[in-house]
Amino acid sequence: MEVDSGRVLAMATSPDYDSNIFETNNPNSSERIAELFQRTDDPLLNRAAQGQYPLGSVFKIITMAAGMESGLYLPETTFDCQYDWTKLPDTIRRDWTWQRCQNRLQSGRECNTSDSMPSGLVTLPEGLMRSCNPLFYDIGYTLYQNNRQNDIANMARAFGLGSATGIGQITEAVGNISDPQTAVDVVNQAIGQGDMMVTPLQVAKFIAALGNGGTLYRPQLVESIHPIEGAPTQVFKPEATGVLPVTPERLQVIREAMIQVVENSRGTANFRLRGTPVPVAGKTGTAESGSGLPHAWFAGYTLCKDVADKYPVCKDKPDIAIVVVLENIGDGSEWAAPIFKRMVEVYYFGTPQSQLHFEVGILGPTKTPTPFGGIPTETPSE
Amino acid sequence: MEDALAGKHGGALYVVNPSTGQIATKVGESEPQPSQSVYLTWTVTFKPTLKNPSRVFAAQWS
Repeated sequence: MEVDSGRVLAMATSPDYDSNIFETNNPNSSERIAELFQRTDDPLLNRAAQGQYPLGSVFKIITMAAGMESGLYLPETTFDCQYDWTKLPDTIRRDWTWQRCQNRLQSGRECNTSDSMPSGLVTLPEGLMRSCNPLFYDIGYTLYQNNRQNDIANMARAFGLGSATGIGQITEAVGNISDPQTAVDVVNQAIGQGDMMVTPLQVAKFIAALGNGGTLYRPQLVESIHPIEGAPTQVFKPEATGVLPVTPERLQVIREAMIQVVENSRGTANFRLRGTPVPVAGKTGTAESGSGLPHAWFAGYTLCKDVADKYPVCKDKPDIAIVVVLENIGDGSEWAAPIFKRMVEVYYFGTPQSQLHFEVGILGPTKTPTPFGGIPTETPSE
Repeated sequence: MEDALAGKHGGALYVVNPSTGQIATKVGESEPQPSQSVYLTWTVTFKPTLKNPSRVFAAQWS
């Protein structure tokens, strides 16, 4: 989605189906339709607009906004981010680094890496960069204690979650953002879990708004309608539907933190997005789904427009927001962030510029990009 | 958008003298409207990669 207009450049869902089977003249139609409806993987569901998922840690952007707008948190407010958060008696809540540490211990390794050690003392933007669960639990709990238990839900709704984007032409689900009833509800909501449901399209809409400085645009699918000859009968223009209720200064703090997620060596997406050929900002998310592996999220936007003098490929391309969700596959940083990177590469260069880490060893050696119609060459093996 | 894509059939309604088969009068007429072209915001070159971002997944989903 273009961040400055809401124009949707591409939308895809998998698994898919062959729409030709609905052609009544197709002799295989009835048989194939019967097969389609027997499938259990819901190919008819357009996951981009109708898929409803917990947002996981991408939601921390909204919790951070709510915390700052409440006046209870400043960007420079510090928090000691350790493995555990125990202010609620129902259970010990863990940071994601704790699980990474457990995984390392089980394989006989020490917890001495950036992703297996607690983040330690962090400011608010550093907490977002590190996706520190205890910090965001604490923001939720502090809001609850100050009779502001609906602040996060209200902020989420103001970001466009829990309601239709208004895209039109295609069916969309509205998701769910409910007002939390208990401290446990608030704390779970603060990290994008609990009973919340959002669609990838809703997320693209607010990520685009973060990219453009705060304006929410209705996602636009139709550019214009033309008769056979002559001028168009209808031309559709970008339509702003709202503004993120965050002061410009605080919005900038969030934007800077999203850059650090990618650029800082301790950022959760740094490892997988290193080498992205243009500047980007974003947030990882790993959302517990209730069964199986978690859903992997990455949501981000490009920051090309303002640096076009340094990056020639940025010159004629509007900045875009991209949202990637993969169901029941694992960590957002491991699965969704690399696909975000590929999308960026294809948008700016027309072809992938690198091999993704999970392709190595499966798809063979890296191919260098084809230079102006030349023949790809294999990278020499060591 | 559906209306623009579909266009519209035209037609005329006449009163015909049953004994002669001649048109007695034209009651009404509706002009046909040709279908129109709808231009989307899609970027064509972007879509195939989005649809299949990695052959790893294509293999998984096939």
